[in-house]
Amino acid sequence: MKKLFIIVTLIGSLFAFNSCKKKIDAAPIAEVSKGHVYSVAELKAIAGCTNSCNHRFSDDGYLVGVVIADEVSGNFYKEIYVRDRTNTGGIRLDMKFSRCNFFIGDSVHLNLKGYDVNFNPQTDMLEIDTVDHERHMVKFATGANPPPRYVQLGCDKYSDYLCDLVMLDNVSFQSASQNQIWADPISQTSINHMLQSCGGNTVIVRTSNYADFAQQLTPSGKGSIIGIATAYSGDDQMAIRHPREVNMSGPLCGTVYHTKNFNDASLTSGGWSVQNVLGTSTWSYSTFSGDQFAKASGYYSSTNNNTESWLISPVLNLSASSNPVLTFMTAAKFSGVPLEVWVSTVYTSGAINLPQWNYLPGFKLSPNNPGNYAWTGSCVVPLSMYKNANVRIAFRYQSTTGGATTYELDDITVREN
Amino acid sequence: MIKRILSLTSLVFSMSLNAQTDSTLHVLTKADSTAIDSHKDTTLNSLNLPIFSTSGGDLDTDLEQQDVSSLLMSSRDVFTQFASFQFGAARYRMRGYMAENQMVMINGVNVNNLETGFSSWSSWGGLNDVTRFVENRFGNVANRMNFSGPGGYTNIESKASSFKKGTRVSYMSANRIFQHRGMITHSTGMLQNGWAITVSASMRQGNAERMPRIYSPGTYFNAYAFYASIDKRLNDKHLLSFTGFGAPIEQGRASAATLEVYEIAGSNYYNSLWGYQDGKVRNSNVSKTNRPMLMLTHIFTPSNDAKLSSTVYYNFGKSSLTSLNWNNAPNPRPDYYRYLPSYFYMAGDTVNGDIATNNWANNTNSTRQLNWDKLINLNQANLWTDTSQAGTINTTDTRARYVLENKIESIQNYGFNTVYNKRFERLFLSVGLNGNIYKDRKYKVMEDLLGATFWIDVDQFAENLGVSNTVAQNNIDKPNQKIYKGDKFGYDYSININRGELWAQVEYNLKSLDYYVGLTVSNSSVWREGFVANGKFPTNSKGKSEKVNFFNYGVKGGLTYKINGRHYVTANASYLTRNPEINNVFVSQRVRNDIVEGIKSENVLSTDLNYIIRYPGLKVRATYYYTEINNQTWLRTFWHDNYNNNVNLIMRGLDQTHQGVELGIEKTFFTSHVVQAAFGYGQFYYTNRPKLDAWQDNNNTSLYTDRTVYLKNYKVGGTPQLVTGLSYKYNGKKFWFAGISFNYFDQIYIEPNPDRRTAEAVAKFIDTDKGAYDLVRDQERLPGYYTVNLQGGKSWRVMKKYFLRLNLTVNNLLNNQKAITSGFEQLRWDMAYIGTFDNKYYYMQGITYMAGINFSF
Repeated sequence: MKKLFIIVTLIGSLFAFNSCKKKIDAAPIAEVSKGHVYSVAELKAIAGCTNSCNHRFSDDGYLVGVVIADEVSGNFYKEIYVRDRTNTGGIRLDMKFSRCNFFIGDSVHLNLKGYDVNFNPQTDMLEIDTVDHERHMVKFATGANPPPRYVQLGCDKYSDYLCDLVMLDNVSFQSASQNQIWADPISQTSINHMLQSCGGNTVIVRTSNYADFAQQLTPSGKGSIIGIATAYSGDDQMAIRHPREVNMSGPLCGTVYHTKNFNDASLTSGGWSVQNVLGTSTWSYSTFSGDQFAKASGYYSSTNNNTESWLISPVLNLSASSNPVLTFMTAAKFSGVPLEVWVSTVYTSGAINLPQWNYLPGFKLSPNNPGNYAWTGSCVVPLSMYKNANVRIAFRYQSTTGGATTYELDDITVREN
Repeated sequence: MIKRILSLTSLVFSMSLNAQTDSTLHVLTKADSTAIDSHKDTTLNSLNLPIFSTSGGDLDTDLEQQDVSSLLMSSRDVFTQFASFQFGAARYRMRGYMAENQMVMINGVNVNNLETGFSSWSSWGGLNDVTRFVENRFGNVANRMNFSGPGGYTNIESKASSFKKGTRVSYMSANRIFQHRGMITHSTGMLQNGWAITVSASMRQGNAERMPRIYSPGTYFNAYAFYASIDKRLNDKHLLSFTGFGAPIEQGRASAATLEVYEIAGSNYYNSLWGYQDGKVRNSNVSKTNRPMLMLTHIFTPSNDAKLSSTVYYNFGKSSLTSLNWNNAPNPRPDYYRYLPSYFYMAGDTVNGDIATNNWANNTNSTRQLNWDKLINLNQANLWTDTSQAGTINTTDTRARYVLENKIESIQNYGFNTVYNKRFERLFLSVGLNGNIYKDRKYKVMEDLLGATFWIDVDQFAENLGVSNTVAQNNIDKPNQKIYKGDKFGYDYSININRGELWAQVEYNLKSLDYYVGLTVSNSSVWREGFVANGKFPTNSKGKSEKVNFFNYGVKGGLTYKINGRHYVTANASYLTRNPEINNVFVSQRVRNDIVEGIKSENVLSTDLNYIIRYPGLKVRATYYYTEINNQTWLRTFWHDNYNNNVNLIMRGLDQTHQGVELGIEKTFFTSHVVQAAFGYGQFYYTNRPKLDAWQDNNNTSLYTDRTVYLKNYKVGGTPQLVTGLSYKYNGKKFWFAGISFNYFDQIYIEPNPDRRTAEAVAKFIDTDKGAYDLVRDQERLPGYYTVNLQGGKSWRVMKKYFLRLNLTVNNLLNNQKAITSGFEQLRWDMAYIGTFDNKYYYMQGITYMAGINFSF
């Protein structure tokens, strides 16, 4: 029995020896710290470089981001879109294989080594061609819920958002595209439908005939739509991920209370008037390569002058409105005092009495310094605080001897949003 | 030795032999049932397993129903008894050894297959009556009949003169793989005139369609076995003995599946290999084996202390395995990954995912199982006009899209074996010489055109490569050959092995110390000979390959220190070199003669240290063992659906270590209560970083070569590395016994796929991707489980000279149907998503029984 004890002890000690855990082998993997993580902005810079630049990555470098469009619905095929983790924008990944198993919300990284980044000459979209996800791309997390970027047509520059997930609001399909199939799987054709804002700006919504929702019908109302901002031959386009992200059931664009587009070559037709506060009148009708517009400038007699002049609308009755808004376009050059917009509900005529006016904020002007007369939408300026029967809008132009911007003003609209 | 065993035929022993032979059968048949066909699939061939071991072969070498292990047979060693009769259902391999480590002999002749190194127990399956007398020694041991390695040896002594006069008739009912077994054996015993004759025959039949219930649906088993032995004692010094046996076996097989498939099929015993044809169950993977063995032995006994035993033998016959093949048509396998719900869900397609789930649950014929009728319809709709028939419209001849092909291996093995034993006082000398001329011809035959008129013998996937028509030919000499039923096609070649061995052993006994030393040298010459020229390899597919020579040697030695008559310490060691598995010598043996770069023998170093106690009523053995198997060549072939072809993965220079402890204790209380306990804990793991190459069957250019496999410390899969058993048996006074045993299994690992452990496989990962990276790299460990088994028996003596015996074995008494005994990583895997090709598993059978009755007179 003593010997048995010895044996058991011996076995026990061997067992203890054996029990040492041996760590299993591991093939080496790259340390991300050794490779630069590129933002989409950086990739755009590389892709946009034209002067003997190398668009191919020769070293480990990473795109890290979240998938914003996948192949599930069939509207995208052999391509996915990724927004970088620093939110500088989106990029299109042209995939070597279909069914890559990356889904919206997946966090991924792609080793860029050996890939080219380019702007597609046909679409101007930022893309990487023939991505072999099996070898170079990893899903490292799931469940992110990247929100769309809000883009206002006639206000934001659509091409700045290409390849990113965007939402347009207050838009509707043109009547020929309402209640139509999104695409035609039977005759196997993709279809373009024209989307427009109440301000008249348009975007093409293009849908593949392979989309599993192709035979559903487009909505006939107005509202919001989410999709990937794309382009083709200079046209702004959009590809939706799924119709459930299209929420266009509201009433179509409503009453237009007033428009002034200067196409009758008159600065004051329709009840508009000018009140000079300082200096000589600066507002005038003008035209340039087909465009007709109002123009204001404090530069005359070969010098900048101290001026102030108001262009005032006729009285507008907004008492029955529900959500009135103002939009207009400007184009500007030379530094000076920015154009202002004022609203009054008591002014009738004559000299300006400033306390009768309210400053209206929240619009966008054409850049003026140095500026190059780039026509710029004002974005939608709400007038909902002025639902009154005696509303007037005024554009206040000012200049000083120190600077006189030239403003061109067009397409002034007051309408129901 | 034989006499000593015979003299031990106490009633209890004979009863336990009965139980054991039953268990043997169980092991064999289960082994058969679990072998799977890897053709057109993505299974890891190493797991085409018989029960104890992996075949290690590629898809064509598993035709034989390989089975392993000495452990099956009666052994007085407690641990070995557990390993044989209790741990078998868990696919336990003693010390983790594959079958090539253990030598199996019949009448002293080594019958391990020369190509695979494995012994084919199925060759004498069903001949339990005449293969009962077994000498089995495990580990590094002295062997007077041959030079055996680290796994020891098993010798089945089966000569007519070994058997007592009498007749034995038995019947067994069971539900493991067969339902009925009948055996009859008659021995004359040694007659006055010097003749002794023994004949035996058996029949085993099973079919999952009939009761009692067999777990794997679609399987069946039809086996016969015949045996005859005639001995003639010429005089006091000369005995001539002839033994011949054969065991034709036909079997419908079962497959492994992924957890998803088991779940959606609603059964842990789902079998994808069968389906209905005309309303009848038909299995696509039918194996047939019939490899008879004829041996003639001359035993010369010049004196009481010398013996010269010489045998010539001939082992021949075919084994075959049918499977589906297809051309320009979708994969017919119901569990092909693209037909599974997960394939759709994975891509976010819930609509089709739900449809697939529903079909799997409800449509047996069209979704869950093979749809033979549909395959036949598709064939019959495929009217085919040859280029030679241009201008005419063919309205009768159809070209097969689907066929059932039969892969055949036909062996011819001529051998001789001579052993001389001589005792000089304290010294015992054994010297032996043996040799073989072995040829295995491998080819495919058209088994069933499934309603079509013909099949065309071309490689459609080479056709797709845009190459010339000649390149696509499987046989250049017969371009675009139409294949009809029974025709050879595809490939046709032989593997040839000429081998010779000389060995010697000396044993020396002192009062308190015994020792032995053994030596061997051998040479094997191996070549391939192709009988058709393949269009893709026109110059190196037909004719003989280069001959590869493997010169091998081995030394072993051991000593036993007798502390006293009850306590012993033994220590053994061996070092030997041996051939790689011959099927691993050729890069792509089906189609060409090319030899794996740098092919060389593997080497084995093995040591063990044992403490043995023997008291009346107490037996203990405690062992520590340490074995290295180095420089191995590993080759597996799998179906790659992207290439539409077989891919051969070849690992070179693989090293592994097996070390561990074994403890077996048997204690008898009050003469009739026997308690046994066994404990085995091993660490079987890989120890280096071998190189990996990948070649397609139909391409001269490798997919890659020389990748480093980061395999160090991965566990060897397929066997529990921790086993524990406890049993109690009561021997009644009126010739009956009953026993119960409890067994626990743990540390079960899934064999790693080397391709997933390369730097290239994980190149896309970065250090923060630990989760995703580990999914590719980690080795799965299966949960531990336990079983409870019952045995019992009773014996009557009738009219003082006849014996009637009954016995019953019930395994897995608690009917645990959730235990996974083993599984494998698929060699085909998806770098993008590891779940596409999930691991496949085998579940342990639920409760099973064997009830036997035999009568001897």
